[in-house]
Amino acid sequence: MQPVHVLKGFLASWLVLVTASVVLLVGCRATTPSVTPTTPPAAQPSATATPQATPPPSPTTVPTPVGARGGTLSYAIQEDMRSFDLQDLGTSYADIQPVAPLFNGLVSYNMYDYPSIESDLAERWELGQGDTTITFFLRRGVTFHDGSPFACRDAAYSLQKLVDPKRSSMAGNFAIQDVRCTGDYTLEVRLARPQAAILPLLASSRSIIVKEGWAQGHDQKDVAFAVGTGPFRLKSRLPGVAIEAERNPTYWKKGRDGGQLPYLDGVRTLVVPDPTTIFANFRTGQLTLTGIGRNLTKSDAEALKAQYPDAVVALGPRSAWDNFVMNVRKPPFDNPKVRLAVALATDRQKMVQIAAEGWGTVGGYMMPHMPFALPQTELTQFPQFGADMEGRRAQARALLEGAGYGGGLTVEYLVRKGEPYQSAAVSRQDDLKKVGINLDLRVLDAGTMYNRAFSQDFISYTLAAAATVDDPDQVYAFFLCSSPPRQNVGGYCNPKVDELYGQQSASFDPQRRVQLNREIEKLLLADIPEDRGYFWWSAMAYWGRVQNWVQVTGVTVYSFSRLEQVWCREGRCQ
Amino acid sequence: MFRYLVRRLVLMVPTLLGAITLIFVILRVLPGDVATLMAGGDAAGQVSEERVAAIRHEAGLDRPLLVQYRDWLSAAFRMDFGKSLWSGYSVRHELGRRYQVTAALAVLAFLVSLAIAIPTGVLAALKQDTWVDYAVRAFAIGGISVPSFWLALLVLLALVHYLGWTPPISLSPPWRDPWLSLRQLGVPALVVGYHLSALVARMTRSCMLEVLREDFVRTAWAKGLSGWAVATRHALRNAMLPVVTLLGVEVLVLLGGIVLVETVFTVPGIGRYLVDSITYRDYNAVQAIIWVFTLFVLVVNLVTDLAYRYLDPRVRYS
Repeated sequence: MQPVHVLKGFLASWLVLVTASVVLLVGCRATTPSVTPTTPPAAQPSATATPQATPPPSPTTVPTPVGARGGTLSYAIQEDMRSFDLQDLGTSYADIQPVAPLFNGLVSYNMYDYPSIESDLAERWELGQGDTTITFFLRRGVTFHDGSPFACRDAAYSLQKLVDPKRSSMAGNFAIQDVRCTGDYTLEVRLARPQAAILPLLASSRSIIVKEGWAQGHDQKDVAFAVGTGPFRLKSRLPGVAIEAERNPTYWKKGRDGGQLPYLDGVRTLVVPDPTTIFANFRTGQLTLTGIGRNLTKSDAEALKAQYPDAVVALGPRSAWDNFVMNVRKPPFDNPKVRLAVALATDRQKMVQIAAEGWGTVGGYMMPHMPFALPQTELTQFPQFGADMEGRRAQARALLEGAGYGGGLTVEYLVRKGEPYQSAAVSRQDDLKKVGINLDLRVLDAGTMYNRAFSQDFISYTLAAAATVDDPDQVYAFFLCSSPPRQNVGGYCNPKVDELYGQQSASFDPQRRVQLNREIEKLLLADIPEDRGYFWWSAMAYWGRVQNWVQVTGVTVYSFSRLEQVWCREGRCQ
Repeated sequence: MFRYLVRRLVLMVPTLLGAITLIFVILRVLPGDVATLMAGGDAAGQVSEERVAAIRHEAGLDRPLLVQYRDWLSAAFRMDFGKSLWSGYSVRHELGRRYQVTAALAVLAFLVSLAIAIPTGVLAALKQDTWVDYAVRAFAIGGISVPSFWLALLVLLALVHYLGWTPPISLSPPWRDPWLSLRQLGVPALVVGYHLSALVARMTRSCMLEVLREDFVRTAWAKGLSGWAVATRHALRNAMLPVVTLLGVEVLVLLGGIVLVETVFTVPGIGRYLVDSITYRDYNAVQAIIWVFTLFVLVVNLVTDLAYRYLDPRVRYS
C-alpha cells in the first residue's frame, strides 16, 4: 500500500481526534480523562503501520492487559545527553528519551491513542474567562523520588520557569502570562491570548514538573537534578556510556490490571554512536529496541524480516524533514524566481529513494500526517509538485533566465555531516545542476553548521529540522517576521503569514484552524522561503517479547519514551 | 646516562607545552563552540541568543583567550582539568575511569601484536621465498593496508552473522570482572593488534634476514647449535634493535587505532572520549586528553631510547 493512501486515512482520524481533544478542552468544565491506557494494536512490520485510522476504543470494551513484571529494557541513542533539565537544554531526542521517564507533566499524550491528551499530575482541568484561563486540579498523594510530596507550588514553579526565556528554551512557544496557586492542589494559568496549542505544548515531554526552587540549587547537568515524580528514578549515569533508571516503587499511577506501574524493573539507555554497531547489538539481543522511533534503515528492516521472525519493525511518520534553507536576505535567493526554480528542479521522489530508501513522504511545509497539511490534490496544483519533471526543469531554466542567471550560477551549499543529510544533498545537487544551479557542496560537522546557520553566515544549507510538538504553532514559527533570527534563520517575512498564524494559534475551532493553516501553507508554497525535500519516517525495531509498545507517530521520538505501560513477556527483556 | 635522562626530561616540558598550546589554538579556531552545540539539537532554533550567551558565560568561554590559556595551563600542570563542558563531570575523574579500559585494551592489543608479529616475522625469514614467507608477507601487507575501523566493522558484522554474538556493551575494568573485560576487549584487541603487528612483522623479517647472513650466525651454525637456539638466542636478539625502535613509533599507531576501534566496538575508553569530546567541542576534555596522550608518547619514546642500552651494550648516551 502506498504511504499516501495510509496518510489519507490517517488524516481523517486525526481530524476526529483533534476535534475531540479541543472540544474536550473547551467544553469540559470538569474533565476526568482516563489514566489507564487503552490497549494499542501492536505496531505492524510494514510501511502501513502509520497511526491507526480507527477511533480510540472505549475503555469498557478493551480487554484488561495483565503485564508481566520485571526485566530491564535497553535501547540506544547516538549521542550523549547534555542536561537533565528538559525545559531548558533538552533540545535533542538524546536528552529527552533517557530523562523523560524520570518526570511527569501536568498532562501527557496518550501514547496509545495519539494525539489525545490525558491527565498526568493534573487530574482534570477547566477552561474559563474567554478561553484565557485554565484551572488545573492537581493529583494528591504524589511524591517526588526523594520522598517529598508534590503540591501546587511545585507545578507553579515549573510553569513559571517554563515560560522564562532565561531559564527555558521553550518559553517562546507559550502564551502563558501568569501562573498562581489558588489552593494546595489548584493551579490557575492565565494566558495572554487564547492558545489552542496550550495542551499539546504542556503534554510535551519537555514540559516537566520539577520541585519548587530545584533549578536554583542544582546544576542541570548534575544527577542530583534528576528528582522527579516519574515511573522510573535515576540509578546511574556514566557520561558517554549509559544512563540507567530503575522502577520508582512509589509511583502513583496504577495499570489497567490495578497493579502498580511501571511493569519494567528498569530502563537502560546506551550511547552507541555508530548505527552499524547499534544494529549488530540489537541482532545479538543486547538491545531490546534499536531506539525509540529511531535507528533502523530499510535494508536493516529487510534483513530482520528475512532472518529474525521474532523482531518487529515499527514505522510511522516523523515530525522531521529534509530542508534546503535559503538565505532570502542575500542574492541569488532574495529573488523569488530563483527560489521557485530550485523547488521546480528538485525531484522529491528521487530524493526519498536515494536518502531514505523510499521511507519518506513528499509534502509541503506542514507534516503530511497532520490534518493541517494541504491535501495531496491541492498540493499537486502547485508547479513544484507537478508530475512532469522535464516540464518543470524547462520552467526552472526559463525562470533563471528571467532572473538574469541564464548562464548558470554557483551557490555555496552547507550540509551537515552524516546521513540522511548528505545523500539528500547529493540528490539535490544533481537535480539543480540540470537547470544550471551548481551547488558547491561543503560538508560540515554539527558545531560549524549551527555556528554558520545561526549567525546567518550562509547562502543555503541543510541541517536537522524537526518539531517536538505536532502543532502548527511550532512548525510555522520558522517563517514569522516576528520570530527571532535563530528561529527564522532564512530571514523570510510575509506579514500576511504572521497575521494568519496569530489567528490560527488563537482559534479553538478545529475546522477553522485547519483552514487557516492551509492558507498559510499556500502562501509559503507560493513564496518558497525554503524547499522541503521530503518528510522523514520514524523507524525502529523491537523484539516480540516487548508488549504494549507505544505508537510510532510524529512525536514518538520526542514524547513517547516514558515506558510506564510497556512490559516484557515473562519479565525478560533481553 | 643520568645527564642524558635529565636532559630528556627537561626537553619534555617545551614539547608538552607546544602540543597543548597547539591544540588550544586549533580548538578556538574551529567555528562553533560547546555553547552553540549545547543549544543545538532538533529544537535548536528555540534556544534564545541570551541563553546561548549565558551558557558561554557559565563555561567561561566569554573570557579573553589569553586568560583562558593561562588558567588552562596553570590547571593542567596541577593535573586539574576542570569540568567537562558537556557532561559537567570532572575531566580528571572521567580520564581516571576510562584510562583503565583503554590501558587494558592497549596492553592486550600490544601483546596480540607481539604474539603475531615476532613469530611470523622470524618464520618468514627462516623460510624465505617459500609459501610460508609469501603467506606471512600477504598477511602483513593486509594489516598495513586495511584501515582498522573498516576491519573492526567487518569483524563486528562477521561475529553477528556467524556467531550471533557481539562484545558486551558495558564498562568493566579488568580487575573488577576479568572475564567480562576479556569478552569486551578481546575482539577489539585482536583488530588493533593485527593492524599493529603488520609493520612489526615485516621489520622483524627483514632484520632477521640481515642478521642471519652475519658471520657470527654462521659461526653459531658451525658450532652445531640447534636452529631454535640460533634463531632466538643469536639472530633474534640482534635483529630486535630496529624492531624496538619501531615498537616505540607503533605506540602512536596504537593510540590512533584505539580511537577508531573503541568507537566501532562501543568501548568506553579514552579514545572514544576524545572523539566524542571533539564532536561536542568540549575544550576542557579535548585539551586534557591531548595532554595525557602527549605525555604518554613522550614517556614511551624515552623508555624506547633507554631500552637500546639493554639490547645493545655498545650504545652510549651523550
